[in-house]
Amino acid sequence: MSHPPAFYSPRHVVVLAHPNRSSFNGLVADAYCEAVRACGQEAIVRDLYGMGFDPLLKDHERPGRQGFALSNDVEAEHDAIRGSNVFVMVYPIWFGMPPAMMKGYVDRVLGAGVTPQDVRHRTALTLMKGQRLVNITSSGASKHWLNEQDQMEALRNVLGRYLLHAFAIKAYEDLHFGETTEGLDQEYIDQNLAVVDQRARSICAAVAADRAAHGATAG
Amino acid sequence: MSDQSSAQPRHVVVLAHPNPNSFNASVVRTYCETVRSCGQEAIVRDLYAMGFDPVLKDDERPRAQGITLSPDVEAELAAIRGADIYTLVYPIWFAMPPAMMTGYIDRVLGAGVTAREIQDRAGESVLSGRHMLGITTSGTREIWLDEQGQIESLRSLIDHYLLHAFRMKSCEHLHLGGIVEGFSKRFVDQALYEVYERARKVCATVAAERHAAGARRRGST
Repeated sequence: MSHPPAFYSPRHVVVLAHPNRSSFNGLVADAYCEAVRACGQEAIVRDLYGMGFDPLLKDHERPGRQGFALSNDVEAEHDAIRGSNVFVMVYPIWFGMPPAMMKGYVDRVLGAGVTPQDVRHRTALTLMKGQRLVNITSSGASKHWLNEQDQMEALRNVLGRYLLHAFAIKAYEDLHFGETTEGLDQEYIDQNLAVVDQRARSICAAVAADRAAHGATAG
Repeated sequence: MSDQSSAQPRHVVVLAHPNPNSFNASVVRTYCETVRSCGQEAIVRDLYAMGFDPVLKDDERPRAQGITLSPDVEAELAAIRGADIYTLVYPIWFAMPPAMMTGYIDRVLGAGVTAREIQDRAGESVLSGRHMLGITTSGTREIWLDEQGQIESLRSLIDHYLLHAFRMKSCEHLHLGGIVEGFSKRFVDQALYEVYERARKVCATVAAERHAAGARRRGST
């Protein structure tokens, strides 16, 4: 499943965790998807609040334990996102961390069945194996302040490098928007969404290049 | 701070684990027994058992026109307010706390605190001026987590960040690694002994603070 036939267009899954669909984060998700579609690729949104996703890992979902079993909602979610080339996580940073919704999506869906031993030996078989991970985050604090607190680097370690390793992901990149508080002016929003648009296009180009290279070696 | 003049020092112990027979649950039991044997009070908030809802609502986000706390958050704040120390016990899953614990921070411990207040170090929360202790467990040994820079990142994500954001008195961390299914009783006992020792140390610290505060009060009359 890691190499779907070349005639499928590449697919991006945008996972959104924000309680307000018309928030800046919601706009980021929309801008990303529009850019992907403009590049002739496919984009789907998983709006976790909108879906009423349950972020709490159940006891029987704990990896490597006796009686391990995935819940129906997790299986259904896997079916919805399986075979995607790019996983884009869009969320606000609250108290230095992702919202519970996003953390729960990692615990239950993206990390389903992955044991500490899998992580250590990089043997995890996940839906993200060999694919790309992108984090697009926002916070009310300034980027400068977060940097000073080592927050950006810490988040990158945890949600970037660690997941890259744990889920055998091929590449990680991120984009952060600071000072996204209530009542943003339109100009600021437009500027930032233009940055999202640009980044989405560069990711689409990279994915298309992967495809071309894979097609070339397969041929 | 009138509530802090209650008879004994109080520890609020917050547990985020789905299994009541887990090692994390044993850590909580050992911690509380030790606290009580020191003549202090311990109350447990077992988030899975309580059915706590970790998902922050749109109405609960701090806004210019103020913030509306949900009834469950109000009730939780009333239950935990005024403790000398908040002890958070949780497993590390994929280098972070479970969603249950991040949601407890988002909704309860950080209720109503804005990004601006955090940046200005003016956040008012139940944690302000209190101690915090994080006790975490992981399936890999600490040394491997360290190689990945995880322990340091987790500390800066949670401990350092909350310490400053909420102007806490102190924020300490005890990590117990190598916790996998079916590990030996000797290993469990050893890890729980570390919890016992740390709990005793914490009790001594808060007792000394109470004593000093009492002496200041008596001196001022």
